[in-house]
Amino acid sequence: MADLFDRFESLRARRDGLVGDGGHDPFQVEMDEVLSQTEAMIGGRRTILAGTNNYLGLTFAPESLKAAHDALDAAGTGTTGSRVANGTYSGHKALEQALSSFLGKEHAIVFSTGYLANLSVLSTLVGPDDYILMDADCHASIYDGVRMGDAQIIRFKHNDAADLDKRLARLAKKPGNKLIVIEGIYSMLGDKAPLDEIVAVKKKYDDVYLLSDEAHSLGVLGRYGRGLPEEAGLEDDVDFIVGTFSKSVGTVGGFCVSNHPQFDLLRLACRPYIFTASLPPSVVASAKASLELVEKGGALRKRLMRNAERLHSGLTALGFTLGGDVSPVVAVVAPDVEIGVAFWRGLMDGGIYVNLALPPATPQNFTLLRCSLCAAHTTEQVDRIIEVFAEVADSLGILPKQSKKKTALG
Amino acid sequence: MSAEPSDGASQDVRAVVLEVLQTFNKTGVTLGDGTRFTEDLNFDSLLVMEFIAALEDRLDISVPLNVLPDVETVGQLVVATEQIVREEHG
Repeated sequence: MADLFDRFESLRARRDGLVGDGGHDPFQVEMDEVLSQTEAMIGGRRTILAGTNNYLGLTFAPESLKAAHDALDAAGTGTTGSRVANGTYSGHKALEQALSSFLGKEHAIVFSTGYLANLSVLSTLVGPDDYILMDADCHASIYDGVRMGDAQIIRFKHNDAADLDKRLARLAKKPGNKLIVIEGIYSMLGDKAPLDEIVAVKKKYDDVYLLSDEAHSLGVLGRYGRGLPEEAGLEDDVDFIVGTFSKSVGTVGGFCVSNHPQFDLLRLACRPYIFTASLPPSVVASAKASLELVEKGGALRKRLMRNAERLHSGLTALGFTLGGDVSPVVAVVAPDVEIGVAFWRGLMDGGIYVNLALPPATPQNFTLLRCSLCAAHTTEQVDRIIEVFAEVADSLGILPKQSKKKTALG
Repeated sequence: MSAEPSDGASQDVRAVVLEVLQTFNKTGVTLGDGTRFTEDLNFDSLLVMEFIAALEDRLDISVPLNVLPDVETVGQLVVATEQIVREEHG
């Protein structure tokens, strides 16, 4: 008789092939104790965290901790209900107002996670006669959101405005709205969308809207941390901004903001908004406190970018192939999956945690050692990351000797 | 699903699909209506995207992602593509 789990046989075989020998398992990392924004005890070893999305290091911000403690004591551990039933407290509305004023859009809706924000908006905003034009490298939550909806889904080549233009031109004669979906910073390689070019293409056609997922760029880009639209000076041209509280904002939750006068109707239409419990009051309070720190976080952004530049140039000098330009995501391309897993384990043995990202979840089917930086990383920590990368590469024999000598770290 | 290669237009679409697909045929199997993208051609999601994009450019059509889950074989893609060509170019 067939076992229910037989359908996962290829998954099991792949996992066992990668991690079956008892070493560190990249998909079962357990932090025994979190020591700070940048360090944790993992498997009894003090480990530098270089793969967290905690870009501004706000997870232990005193203001956010206090706000969370106060809300926890005042309103309890959870709302036990949906936003449309008993789950909207004054804190949820205050957070929405704070988002609306921070991002300069009339309306804001808070969702329970960033994933649910994308699921909600993308499955609902467009219907069967409409078209979604999405960047091919968009996050899984965007793919899942559009699949859950009824719109016709068209992908365009990653960061290729000319390809988007070609596809919009083909659709120009068709009725129906078109929604372009991009990300401010793409999570795997850390590269930015060419927003100016995409906005220029958008403006050539009628009935075209633009949605940008600022999950990785909120708090990171722009003078006040409002993401790529602020940095590019194009905030008015982005109709919908989706974001998360689980990266720079340091907690969990998601949101969407827009100037569309009917935007609030989504509260009555989005199933992942209606049929899940709302965020606990403590999370809502810390998100609101951290948003203020994000807006005032110019110094944090400078430190973050300084760390990013240091890691990027250090790894480049060692001869590593990096996935993109300087950004808080520094993705090292491994030659293949086996070397990627061995390299990741070597880093763990050396006290460095990064994300291991494997095909098919990666652009161009790369195997990536994805580092993400934090404003709270010290220069010494960044140098230690570079040093361990060099040691592991040496032990695996995967860098040309010349570049190692040339850039030997002393 | 069965293809009906009776009229001229569908013959053309089939020929174009096979021609574009041949440039992505790395396993060297002989292409026919029964050829399966995953099993016979080893297509992964990246290759599917590149192939569909090439087909869209060649025929000047939009192939929504929505049609792909129902397409396992070359013959099924020909039928789906013929329908799109009819809708878009009359």
